[in-house]
Amino acid sequence: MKIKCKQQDLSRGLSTVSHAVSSRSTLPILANILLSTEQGSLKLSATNLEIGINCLIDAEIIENGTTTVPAKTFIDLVSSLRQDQVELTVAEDSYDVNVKSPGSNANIKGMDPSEFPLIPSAEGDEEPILLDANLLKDMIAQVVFAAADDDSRPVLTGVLVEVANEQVSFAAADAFRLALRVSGLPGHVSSHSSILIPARTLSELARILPSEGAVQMVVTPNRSQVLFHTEHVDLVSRLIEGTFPNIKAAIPREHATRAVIETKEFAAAVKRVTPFARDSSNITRIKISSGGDGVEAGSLTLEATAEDIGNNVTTINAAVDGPDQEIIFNVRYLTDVLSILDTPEVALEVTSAARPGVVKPVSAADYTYVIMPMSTNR
Amino acid sequence: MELIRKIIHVDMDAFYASIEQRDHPEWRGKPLVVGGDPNRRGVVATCSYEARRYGIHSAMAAQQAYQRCPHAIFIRPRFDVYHAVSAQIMQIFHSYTELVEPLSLDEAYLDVTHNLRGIAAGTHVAQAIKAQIYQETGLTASAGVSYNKFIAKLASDYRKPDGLTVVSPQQAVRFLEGISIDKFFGVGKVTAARLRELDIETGADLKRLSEAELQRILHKQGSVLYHYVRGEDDRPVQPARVRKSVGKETTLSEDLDDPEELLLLMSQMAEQVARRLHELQLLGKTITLKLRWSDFQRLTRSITIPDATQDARTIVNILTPVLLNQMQTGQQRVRLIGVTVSHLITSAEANQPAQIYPLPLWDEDAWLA
Repeated sequence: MKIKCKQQDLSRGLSTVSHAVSSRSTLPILANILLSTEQGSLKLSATNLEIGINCLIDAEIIENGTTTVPAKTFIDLVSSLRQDQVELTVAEDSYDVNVKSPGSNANIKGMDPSEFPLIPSAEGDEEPILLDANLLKDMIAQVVFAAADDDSRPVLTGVLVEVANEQVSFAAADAFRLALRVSGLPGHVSSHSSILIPARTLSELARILPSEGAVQMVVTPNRSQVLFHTEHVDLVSRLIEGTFPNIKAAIPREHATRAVIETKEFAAAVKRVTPFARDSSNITRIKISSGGDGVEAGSLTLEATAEDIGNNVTTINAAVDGPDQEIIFNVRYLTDVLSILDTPEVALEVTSAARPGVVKPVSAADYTYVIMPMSTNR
Repeated sequence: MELIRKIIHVDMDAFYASIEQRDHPEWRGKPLVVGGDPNRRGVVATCSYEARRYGIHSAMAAQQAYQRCPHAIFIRPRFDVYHAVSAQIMQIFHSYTELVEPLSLDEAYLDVTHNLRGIAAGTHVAQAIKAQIYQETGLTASAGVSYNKFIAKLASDYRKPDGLTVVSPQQAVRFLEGISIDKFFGVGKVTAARLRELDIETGADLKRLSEAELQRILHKQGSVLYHYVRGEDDRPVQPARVRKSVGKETTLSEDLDDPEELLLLMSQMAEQVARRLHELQLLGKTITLKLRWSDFQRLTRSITIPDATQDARTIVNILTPVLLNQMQTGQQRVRLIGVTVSHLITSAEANQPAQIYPLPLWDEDAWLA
């Protein structure tokens, strides 16, 4: 194998696949990156068996071939090279790579590429779902944080992706909150499909997706893996088995009180009380007041108390419709959702202190965030 | 010859209400209701004897109590005070015997056969205890003295308030024959009604039935009653009672499918369970809703919370979505509803300043699908 490419391209490609490299594995080959040649491109591949990433970078192919090299050494080396041309050579009877660039000539020991696990490619029986990369990034960002990060309920570590009726929805939840984002999928008429993609996979995908262009999503015929395909990057992930709990049942169908608040003000208020909530399980009391006679504007008051530190009471304006409410939330759940909503205003809908609250963007009906309140004996 | 035991059952008179009247002289001689808020969904915990004249009794909905006697004084319970008084009373009991079996904050069985004061007559022990309670707390108690627990409890109830009833082995037969069957331990409304259908009103009537006949009507309980009504009850006074759960359930007079009505019933039951937990100074981590549908299918749903609770509102908050879920899925009407708290710990163990915990998005049955 002999190829020439730009240091910048190689470095960017390595950064794309690096997160799929397994750092601690009983299979030493998983700590390596697979290099192989394709038409006019060098293909970089890495997998930790949960996800696999292929990335194509522009290269001049002088001689086809393949090998694997230890990821850490190779990445460290390439990132230290000058922004210039890099030449990679693998001798025919060897797996070792010679890396030549102006002012540097390095040899890295490689391993047999036939030991490297196969990363499935984009062929599936199902109709691929075509998504806009930017939209997909948005959808991921708006739900992925709500997934559980512990494994006690494995299905909750996943994002439920459902396609039906020309619509795609992404939903994630832990035991106490749920985020749901839907988007139209015009023209997509294939039958209903529902898969559970690990939240980690989607975070990774959002990181490596290009900022524009199309993404194809395909489920492998045996329904055990999903593949995201773009022009230069493929990401394959295992799917989570199991049944996600009923989302519709968890979303309140009605509310008693609705408060419309400026998103930035709300986020700032939440930030102000957070240090005081931190030491007491993030407990923050929220009071929604309608302002009484309808003449005065309503308000939203956030209150957090830390026994050893002090307390903070922050009041902001809100357009309130419905009776006054008092409810306790984990403030972190508010921080999370307010950081991903970009509409100027959000609505907080509450029914009672013991029923779930809902945060929605105002002027966009495609997002719902359900937060369970905290119950107290006081 | 077998030793004849001396068992005393002591029951404080309108305990919470009497404490309130003691501490608030202006309430003395007036109808006083201790319990939940009549404007909300509370129940009556205790009421003064003056209030009982209006037909108010414990476990009645506070709203109903209000309708019967709007000028009654309605107050919220002060459990910390009741606990303190209860501790005083229990200490008095323990100065007479180690064999004290508390049934609640204000009620206990004492076995004084061999008492610490060396008093020969059970009657004298009971008199001494009543006097000491009055002297130390300003409150009156009623006591029953007999040779077993069943009769002692009936006896304490025989004359109230400030009563003392002694039933000797010789008097037991006549005493039991004269007692109305609904006073008997374990005879609730349903059993009483079933016995009344057979023209059984008193202990004497009950004695006409053979053990086999009673077993046929009332199963296991029939056999127990057969012996109780003959003055046979050898249950010992057990100082330490380890409880596994505190629960309350009710069979509805007509099957219901209105979630609001069921929520109301559930919160009343939660209040009773919470009150009992307060009395026993216990908290529980597992909250269970029990339903029986009109086709007699049973259903129980439990939710375990990180911090134990004895608070009615918390129990209701946890069970409300569970009940609503069930009412949404079930096409059936509900015949029986019950609330139980288990995984119990004592208040001392739980000694935590505040209990705040997140409510779960899905109850346990969301995972059964």
